[in-house]
Amino acid sequence: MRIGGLTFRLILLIFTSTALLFTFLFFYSYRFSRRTIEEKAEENARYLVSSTVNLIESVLNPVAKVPETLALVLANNNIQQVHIYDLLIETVMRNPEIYGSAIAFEPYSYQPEEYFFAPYYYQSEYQVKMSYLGGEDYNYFIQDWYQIPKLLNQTIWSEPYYDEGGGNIIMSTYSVPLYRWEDRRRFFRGIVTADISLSWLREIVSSIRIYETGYGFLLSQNGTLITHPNSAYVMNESIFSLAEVREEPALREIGRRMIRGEEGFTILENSFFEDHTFLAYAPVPSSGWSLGIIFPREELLSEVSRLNRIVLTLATMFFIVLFASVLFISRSVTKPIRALAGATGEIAKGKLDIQLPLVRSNDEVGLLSASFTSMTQDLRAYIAHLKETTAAKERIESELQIAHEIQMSMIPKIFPPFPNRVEFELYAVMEPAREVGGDFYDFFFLDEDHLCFLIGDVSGKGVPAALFMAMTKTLIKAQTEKGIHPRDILQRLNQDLSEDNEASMFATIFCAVLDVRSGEILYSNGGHNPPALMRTGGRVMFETIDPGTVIGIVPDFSFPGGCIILSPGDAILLYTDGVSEAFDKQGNIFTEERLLKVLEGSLDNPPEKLVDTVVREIHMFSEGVEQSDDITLLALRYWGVGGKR
Amino acid sequence: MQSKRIDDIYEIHVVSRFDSNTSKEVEEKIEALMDKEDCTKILLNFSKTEYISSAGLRGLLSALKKGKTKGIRFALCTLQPYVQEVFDLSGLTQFFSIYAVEDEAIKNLA
Repeated sequence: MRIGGLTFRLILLIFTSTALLFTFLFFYSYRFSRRTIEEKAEENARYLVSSTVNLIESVLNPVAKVPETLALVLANNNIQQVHIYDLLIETVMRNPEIYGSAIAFEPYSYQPEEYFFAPYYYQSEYQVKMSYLGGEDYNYFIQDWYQIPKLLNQTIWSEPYYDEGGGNIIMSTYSVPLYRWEDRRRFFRGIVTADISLSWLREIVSSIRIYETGYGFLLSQNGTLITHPNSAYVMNESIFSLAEVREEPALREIGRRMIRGEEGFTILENSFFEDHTFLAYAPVPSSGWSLGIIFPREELLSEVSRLNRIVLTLATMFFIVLFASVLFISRSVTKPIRALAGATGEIAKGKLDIQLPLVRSNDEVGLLSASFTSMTQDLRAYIAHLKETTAAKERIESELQIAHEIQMSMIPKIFPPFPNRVEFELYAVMEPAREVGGDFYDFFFLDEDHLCFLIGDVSGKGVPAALFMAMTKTLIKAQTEKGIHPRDILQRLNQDLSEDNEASMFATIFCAVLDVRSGEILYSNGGHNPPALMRTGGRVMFETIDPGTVIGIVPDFSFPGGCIILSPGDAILLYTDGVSEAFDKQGNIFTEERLLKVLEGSLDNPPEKLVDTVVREIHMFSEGVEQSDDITLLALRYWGVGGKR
Repeated sequence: MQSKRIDDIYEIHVVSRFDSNTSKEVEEKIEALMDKEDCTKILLNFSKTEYISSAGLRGLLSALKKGKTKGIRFALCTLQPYVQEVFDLSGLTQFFSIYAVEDEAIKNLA
C-alpha cells in the first residue's frame, strides 16, 4: 500500500471517521451507563442501609422495652428482695436476645447495711447464672452504664464495651433509671439494665455483602467501630482515631456527620476505605449508632467495565473486519486504476502499442479504461496518418526543391551576361514567394546588334504558375527570330496560349528589343506594368504605354507596338507587381511612388546596385511579413557603342 | 458574398479581397448562378472590393469565359480605384462592360 495512494487514503478516511464516531459513542455510552449504574447503586445502598437499620432496630427496640417495663413495675411497688430475683430470672429466661439483666441500686438504698446491691442474671451455656455486681474491684457507680443515665435522667444505650466482670463478651447495655415515688416526689434508686451481646449485631452487619469486597460497619455514639470486617479495629479504633492516624480530615468530617445522626451518600477518594469508594450511611435512631456501607466503585462499575471490554473487543474485531474489507474493496477498486496508471505511464512514454488492462466493469474505471483504449487507437491512427502526410509533404518538398532548381536554371543568372559588350549593362533578379513562382525574365541577342529582353508575370503563384511560366518562356524562345518585332512575339505567343486554356491562366509580359547601336527600343506590352525610365539628368518616370492585354485569354488580339529612344547613360527598369504590391505588417502596399523615390535616390548606380537597392528596400518594408508574391526586377543601362565613360 | 435578383439580372457583390484565397469562392458562386436556367445576365458589383490579385483576375476570366459559351451577358460596376487600375494596366477594360454606378449597369444590361 503506497502512502498517499488511493487505498491508503480510503483506509485513512474511513478509519479516522469510524474511529471518531466510535470513540464518541463509546464515551457517551460509558458515561451514560456509569451514571445509571451509580444512581442505581446509590438507591440500592440507601435501601440496604435503611433495611439494615430497621433490622437492627427490630432487635434493639424489644430489648429496650424489657428494662423499661421492669423499671415501671419496680417504681410503683415496694418490692421484696425475692421478688426482684424472680423478675430478673424471668426476664433473662424469657428473652433469649437479652444476654443479661441487672437491677443496680444506689448505695444503701436497698439494704441500709449494703453499699453495693446489684443482682445480675445472665445467660451462660444454656442456663441462667446469677452474680452480684459491685465490689472493691468493680465499683459500678462510676460505670458509664450507671452514671450517665443517672445524671441525664433518661434511658440510654451504653457505649459498647468489653464486659470483663460480667459475661466476658462485647456488649451494650440499655440502662433505665429506677425511681421511687414518695409524696409525689421522685427519688432515684438505681438503674435497671438489659445487656445485649453484640455478636448478633456483627452477624447482621457482616451479612451485608455488596459485590466482592463491599461491607458494612457500625459506629457507636462516640465513633468507635462496633463492627468491622477487620476485627482488630473493633472496639479498639474509632473513626476519629483512624482519621487522626491517617491524616484524613475528610474521614473525620464523615465521622462527625455519622455520629450526628445524619444520613447520606458520598464518594470517598484515597481514603481509609480504599480508593474511589461509595459510602452510604444512616443512623440507628434508638441507640445513636450509625451504620455505614462501603462499596468500591471499581466493583460497582465492573459491569460497565465488563461491558466496555466487550464493546472494545467487538470494536477491535469490527475494525479488523473493516480494515480487511476496506483493503479488499479499495484494492479491487484501485487494481484496475493502478493497472491503468501503469499502462498509461507506458503510453506517456510513447508506447502506444501497449495493451491496456481489460476492465469489464461498468463503472467510472471501466469508462476511463475504454476512453484510454479509444484514445490510444486514435493516437495510433493519427500518428500513422501524420507519418503518411509527413512523408508526402517531404516528398512534395523535395520535388519542389528540384522544381525550384529547374526553374532557376531556366532563367539566365550569370552576370554580367555579355562581358565583351560595352554598349550596355544589365542585371536581373527573381525571388519566388514560394519554392517555385510564376515570374520570369529573359534576355538574348536576336542578332549581332539586337538584344531582346523581357519580363513576365503569370497569374497566381506556385506550381500552376511555374508550369505556365515554363511553357510561356519556352514558347517565347521558340517564336523569336532575327528581325522580329516584339508585338509579333506577343501575338504569336497569345495565339498559342489561348488555345485550350481551360483554366484561363494568363501571363502579363513586357517584351522589348534594343538596338545597341542606336539606343532605340521597340517594345510591346501584354498587360504588364509599364517600365520606369531613368534619364541622365535626374528624371525618373514611368513610361506611358498602351497596356495591350494579358496574354492567353483573347485570341487574335493585336498587340500594340511602341518605341523608346535611350541616350547613353539612360536606364530602364522592368519589374513585376511583386515589387509595387509588396505588403508591410499593417497591410500597406509598397506602391509605384515609393519605387520611384528609391530609384531617384539610386540614379547613377550600375544596374546590379540599382536592383539590389530596390530589393533591400522591399525587404525592409516587408520585414516580418511573409512574401506574398514573386519579386522580379530587370535593369538595363545604355552606354552606346562607345561604352561607359 | 451576397447575390440578389433585379428583374432578370443576377447581381453579385464581390468579396473585399479578391485573391488566390477567395477566387475559387467567387468563381463557384458565378458558376452556380450561370447553372440556373433563367440566368442570362450577371452584374458583378465591385463596390466592396479593395484588392484584386492576378489569381483573382484569372478566376474572374475563367468564369466569364464559361459564361460566354452559354450566351450570358456580363457587366461590372463600381470598381474601386485600385481595381480599376489593375483592369487598366492589364488591358482587360476593353473586353468588359464596366460602369461607374450600379443603376447605369442595370439600365444597360436590361
